[in-house]
Amino acid sequence: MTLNLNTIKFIDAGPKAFMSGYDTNISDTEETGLNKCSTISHSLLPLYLIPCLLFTLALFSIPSTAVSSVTGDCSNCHTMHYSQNGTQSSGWGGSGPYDALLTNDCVGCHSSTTAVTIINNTPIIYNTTSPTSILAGGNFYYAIADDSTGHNVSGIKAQDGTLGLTPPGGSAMSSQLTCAGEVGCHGDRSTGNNNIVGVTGAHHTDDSGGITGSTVGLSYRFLNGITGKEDADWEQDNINTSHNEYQGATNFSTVSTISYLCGQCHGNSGSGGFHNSLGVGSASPWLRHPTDIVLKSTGEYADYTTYSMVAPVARPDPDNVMNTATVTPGTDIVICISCHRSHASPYYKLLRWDFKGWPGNAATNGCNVCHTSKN
Amino acid sequence: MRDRKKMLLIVLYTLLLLPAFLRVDSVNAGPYLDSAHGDILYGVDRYTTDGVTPFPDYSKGNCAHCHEQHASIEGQTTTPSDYLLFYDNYVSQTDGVCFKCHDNTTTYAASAIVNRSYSFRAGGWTTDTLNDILEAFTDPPSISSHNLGNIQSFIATQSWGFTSNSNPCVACHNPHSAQGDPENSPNTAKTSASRGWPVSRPSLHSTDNLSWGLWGDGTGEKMSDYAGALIYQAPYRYNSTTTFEPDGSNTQNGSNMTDFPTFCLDCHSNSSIDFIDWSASTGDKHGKKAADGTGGSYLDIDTPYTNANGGRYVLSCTDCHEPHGSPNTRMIRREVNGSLLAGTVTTTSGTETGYLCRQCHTDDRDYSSSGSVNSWEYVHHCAPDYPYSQSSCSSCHGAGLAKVVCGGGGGGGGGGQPIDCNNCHFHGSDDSWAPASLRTGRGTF
Repeated sequence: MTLNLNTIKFIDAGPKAFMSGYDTNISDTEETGLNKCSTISHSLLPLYLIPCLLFTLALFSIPSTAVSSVTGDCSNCHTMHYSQNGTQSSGWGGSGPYDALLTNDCVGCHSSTTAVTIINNTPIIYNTTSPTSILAGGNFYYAIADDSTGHNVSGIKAQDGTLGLTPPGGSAMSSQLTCAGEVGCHGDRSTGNNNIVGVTGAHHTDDSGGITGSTVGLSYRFLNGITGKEDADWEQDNINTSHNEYQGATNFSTVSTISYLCGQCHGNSGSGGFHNSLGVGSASPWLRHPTDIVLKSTGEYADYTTYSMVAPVARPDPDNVMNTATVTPGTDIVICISCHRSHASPYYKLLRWDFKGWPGNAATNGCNVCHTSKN
Repeated sequence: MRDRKKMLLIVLYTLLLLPAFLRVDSVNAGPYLDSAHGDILYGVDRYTTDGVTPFPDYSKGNCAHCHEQHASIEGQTTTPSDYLLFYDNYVSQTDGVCFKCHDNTTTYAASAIVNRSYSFRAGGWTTDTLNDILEAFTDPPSISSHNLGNIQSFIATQSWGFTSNSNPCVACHNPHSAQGDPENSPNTAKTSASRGWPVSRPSLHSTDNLSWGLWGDGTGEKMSDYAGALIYQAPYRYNSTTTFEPDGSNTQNGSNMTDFPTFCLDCHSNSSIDFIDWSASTGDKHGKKAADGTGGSYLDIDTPYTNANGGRYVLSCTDCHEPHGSPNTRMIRREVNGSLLAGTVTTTSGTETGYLCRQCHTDDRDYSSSGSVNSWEYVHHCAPDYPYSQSSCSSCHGAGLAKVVCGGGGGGGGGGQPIDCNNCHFHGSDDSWAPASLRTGRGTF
């Protein structure tokens, strides 16, 4: 397959694309707020700051949400005959025609030859030049040169030279990892080994009623059955007042957690698995690092109270997080994503920080975000 | 204009407010990075040479050298162990995760880890060939060592947060804080510049590294603190009468010395194990209890101790004992107070224990050239404040012994034997072994 890595100019698509109307509403609100503040007399300076303060607090405490499906012209994504004036449009993929009359495939639409990671509200998960602000899942850019820094997704690079088809902790897959479908992370795996079929209709699903996990389109980032709350800019801004809220649980068997999804390949069963009691243990002393385990409220863990973008936690109820910028030990949950990016990262084993180089690199060790006294 | 000022004020206000919401992850150096394991230059550095498991080139000091997050290395599943360790926490007296590196080999460690005896590090006896912790716990060369299984069982029964899964080494060492002592210079005795603080009190154990700090490094944690109004006199360094334990400086009062009695008594104040009473009221005279004396006279003692301070000394456990193991019984050091013991103490029966005693107490050879090494006629029968007159010899010796240093000649006709030291001299002892008519009622340790 030949990839089209041209900059995407006309696509207003992607998992839970950010509605332009939503942009406008936020802008209007900000404008209104500012206008209100500006009409208050100087003599009331301390008082008029109060509503500003309240407004600011409210602004930061509102969980950011992508509330609806892709919008825009059909032709942004689809072509009836994979033909435009006797050839293919420059914005299309070069190896069509594509399923569902699409103008490109998953990688084609979600890639860029630039360093930009959101283009026309499409999240870019693979930049061919070093990305400026990676999104929450990371960026496959880093996996190109080093198998150990990312998932080896078909269409982006060949299968892992060391691991082959066997994900650590799990069993061998029938073929190389794909974006969606039978051997993919996204979409419905029961639909066969086809990216597009795996996520059929998902981009058009209106999820304004909530991420319930009942369908692919109503699942967190189209990860079938997984729940959570989606950050509108895919955490491009990397601030702890506005980020994804991951679904966690206090056991290995809750199927809607992000860690359970990881465990589907990395061992939800078996003594070698990374996400089951046989492989991990059921209490301290753990055999492997546990996930879907409550961050303890005692000892050093009690000091993790400010949400860290380096080592984030999940919530038992992502839809009802009172303050996104805080962590509540004893309630919030350690997950795979606390340490790893899902697509690829600059670091060994997709970690969110340069663990391998620590402490020699004199950088932050994400382990210390939870293990606060082990620095 | 007024609106512009207000706008500016709001912008400034927002800029001031933002940092409160935004987390800035900073690099904080804590006790782990100051520890021997966490040091970036000489910290933990595992490199398996089993020919099967490739181990990535993690930075020295990295968590992964001890903890396998997923028991999976480069696609190869390894056997998971408690606490995510790469090997079982504790297996036996000579097998466990700590020994995988503290064995002076490169089986697991990228470079062989050398650890020396206390006699070497603090005593300055740098020709001691014992050079790793595993060796100290192995018989031979050691004939006595801390029983790791017993330690593991004991600490699990205390309310210190240990469990039956805990590593017995962790009873004394916080692996995330323990410092090299000396720091990264295992083949030299420690100095005031190179010394570190390797132990943490088991009774203060916590998974919070800040709560379970090092012991000895802080105010109130020194031997001088423990001694209080009494006196801690540091023993001589090996072959020296001008430098002192533990760091070879001329400090003698224990202000540079860990308060080991408090540390050791966390466990040894329990009657279920080797009970030690170091208290002033009911304890040993080597502890805080005052020595017996007569008219201000005390048993002769060797320098740097002086009779002028008789009755006021309090010793550190490490003045006599190795912490891990020893070729002597009861973990007795081979070097004490500036010189080597004249013989090996293989048993507490007989008189071999006297080889230790004579390092600070005056035996017959010290007293007189006609006396023998490790003979104790002088101390018992004619030294100032001697406790037993030279009469009725057979009451204690079975038969008479010839007088050698106390007046010479005479005695009960010969044939008698020296008395087992252990009859009267052990922690908590008195002379109740002696016939009632000869007992002094004194504490004898």
